[in-house]
Amino acid sequence: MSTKQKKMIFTLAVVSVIMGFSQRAYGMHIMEGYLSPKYCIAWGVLSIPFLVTGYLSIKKKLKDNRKNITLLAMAGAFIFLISSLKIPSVTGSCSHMTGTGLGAILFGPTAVSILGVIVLLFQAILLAHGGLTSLGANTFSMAIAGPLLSYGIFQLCKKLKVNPMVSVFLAAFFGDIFTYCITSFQLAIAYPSEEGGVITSMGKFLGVFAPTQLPLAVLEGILTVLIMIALKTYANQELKLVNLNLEEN
Amino acid sequence: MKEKILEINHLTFAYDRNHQALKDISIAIYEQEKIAVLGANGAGKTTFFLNLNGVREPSSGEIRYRGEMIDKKNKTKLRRNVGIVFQDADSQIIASTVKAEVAFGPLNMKLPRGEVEEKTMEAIREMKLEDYITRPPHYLSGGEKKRVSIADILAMDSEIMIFDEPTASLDPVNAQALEEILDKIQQKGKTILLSTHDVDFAFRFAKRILVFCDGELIGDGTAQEIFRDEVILKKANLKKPVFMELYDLLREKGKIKETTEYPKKLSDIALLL
Amino acid sequence: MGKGKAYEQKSIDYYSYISDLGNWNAVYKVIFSMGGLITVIGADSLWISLVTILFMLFLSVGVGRIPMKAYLRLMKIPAAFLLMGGAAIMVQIGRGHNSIFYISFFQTKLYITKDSLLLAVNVTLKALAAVSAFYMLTLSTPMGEIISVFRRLHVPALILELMHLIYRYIFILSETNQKQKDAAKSRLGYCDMKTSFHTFSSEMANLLVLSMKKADMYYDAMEARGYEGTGIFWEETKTVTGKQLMYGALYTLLLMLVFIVLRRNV
Repeated sequence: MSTKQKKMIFTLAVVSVIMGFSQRAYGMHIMEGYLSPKYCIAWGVLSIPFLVTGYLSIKKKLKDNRKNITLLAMAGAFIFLISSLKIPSVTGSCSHMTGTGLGAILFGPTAVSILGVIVLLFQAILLAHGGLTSLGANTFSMAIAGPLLSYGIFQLCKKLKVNPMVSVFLAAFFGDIFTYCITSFQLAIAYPSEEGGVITSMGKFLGVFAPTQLPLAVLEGILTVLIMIALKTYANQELKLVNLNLEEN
Repeated sequence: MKEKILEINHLTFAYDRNHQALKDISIAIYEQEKIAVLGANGAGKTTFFLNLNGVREPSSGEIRYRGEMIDKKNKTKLRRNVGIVFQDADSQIIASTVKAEVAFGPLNMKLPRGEVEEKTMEAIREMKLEDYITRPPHYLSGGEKKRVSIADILAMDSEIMIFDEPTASLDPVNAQALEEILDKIQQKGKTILLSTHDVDFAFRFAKRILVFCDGELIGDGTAQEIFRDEVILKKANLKKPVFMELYDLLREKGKIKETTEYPKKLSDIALLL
Repeated sequence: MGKGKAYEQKSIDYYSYISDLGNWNAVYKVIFSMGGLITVIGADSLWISLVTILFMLFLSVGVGRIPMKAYLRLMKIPAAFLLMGGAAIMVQIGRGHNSIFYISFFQTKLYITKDSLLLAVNVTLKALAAVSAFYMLTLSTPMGEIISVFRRLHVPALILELMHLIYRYIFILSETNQKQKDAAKSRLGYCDMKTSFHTFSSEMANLLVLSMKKADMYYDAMEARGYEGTGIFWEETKTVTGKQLMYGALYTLLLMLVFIVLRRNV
């Protein structure tokens, strides 16, 4: 085989691998065993302050009204479900929402941090997405960083009086993008490049997951907007229930 | 006369200010009764049940359990002695295996572990669920779930067992089995209250019938009294049981013997012909 | 399509109720599985990974009697992540002095070195070994028992209760959604892209509203059975038997053997 042929085959292989396995595009869960113990622990520790805050806020909500427990649990189950359901997509491959933005907008980022860590644990146990050793890293990117950014953007847009649907889109879209960037960073510092170290490596991870994650973020934005529109058509009674009981002030 | 278990005086309940879900209900419930509660959807049957069990607190009026006034402090007495089998089994089942599910009530009663185990297994055997002990509820059929939800309450050994539309989503075989279960439970000395839209079932099963209409208790009497009362039937939009109409028709044509007790089964009619 | 999805979603959970490892003591299984997991990522060794993959396969399929076909299908779930992550680790960008293979890529080169190739293979095997070790637990331990182990680890009661409820509600919502989907399909709700998007979003909105409404009733149902703000759940006591310990000892022995052999070769 000539070098040229080799190169051709290599390029083809890379393309087909990426195309072939973007068939099932989930949020980017770092899988079991992918991180070395120090990173597993470091990301876990980094998540703790956020989780404690979330726990305390949930505890307070339940103290105010014990009935919130079933509402919170329903919210958690809903986030799990929305992130595991196949969504219709253009290419025939199937994608899944992350539910990060929607969750943050509906239930607020502190509740979502606790619900998120439970949902991530269940995804690892029930669906084998993500894992137990990578739970800390995934929690940080998907249950903390993403929702916080989404919520921040949503609130900022509210203050700037941006069209509500545009702000929902931006919140959901950037929530996904941010999660994807953080995950790439987490992988990059665990596996720096031989040349160029973490930065080059981050570029590689961003690049290799881009074909699945970029369309997913757009889709997430669109669907979150559509879901919010659909929710608005319901009597506000139910929406109030969600906001009053769960969203933080 | 059997002992009185519950006494309800002038009970009123409102979810919000504009709408009273229950209006001035007064009634007493005795040991070993078989009571059917009839009425359209939204007439207040479920709310009534939730009040009996202490999950809802009356806006006004009182509930006495064996003579003792129920207030905030001792409402657990109601929950322990009045059990509800909810209409939708899924809304009731919360644990991840059948055994854990049935044990939920006894555990909440803070019984010692051995006793929890005993009561749980007894209820499971009673409902013939032995083969499903380690099965999670989401891999059960509708009829099986219903049996689990009944075992839930059986395990709590409450004096009064309430069934909210127990036959609603059951196929004929399961509905038949349920009737047998109900009889068995009643023979064990329990009082049964059940709501249903099936007048034939109510007529066959109940000694006493309560009729709800727009939050009011408009009828309380024996099955015969209620189904003979055209005013109540019309108001609550109820039909007469088929066997009752059949008997009336046959009697009009002089084809059946007169009796004071309406026939409730085909075999009762056959005896009178 | 819908059936396949439901099947996939239930599969791991489903096997946990039929596995022959189901009657093993849950705490022991957690220690076993976590021990394997930590050893694999801590040792960072190709051979340890291989031994773990094979041993966990033996436990889950051989002893636990999970069908081989199902096990292999489950092992394929993380394939996409493994391949893409592996590619990113393996392929380097830059001048590539000691590459074993390269292609030009705009101004620079994409290349693979012996080290990067080894690293990618190592990481992939390590991940698969970790997944196998975790599967040993999840494919044989019902969620209720896993939560009971968390209780022993002093996770707050509130979190445990949320876990119990969320687990149950996931299946309730998923069943409801299946019905929604069938009903929508029967009315051409998924006939084209645009319609599908709208149908999907309405389904989700509807599901959320429905679930929030149901939450209230579910609370009533719990209260009706004497729930007073702290969920107490039944936990089965399963004893650790000699046989269970033997498998653990066997695994430890194998790991030790590998360590000794590796030491000698270094």
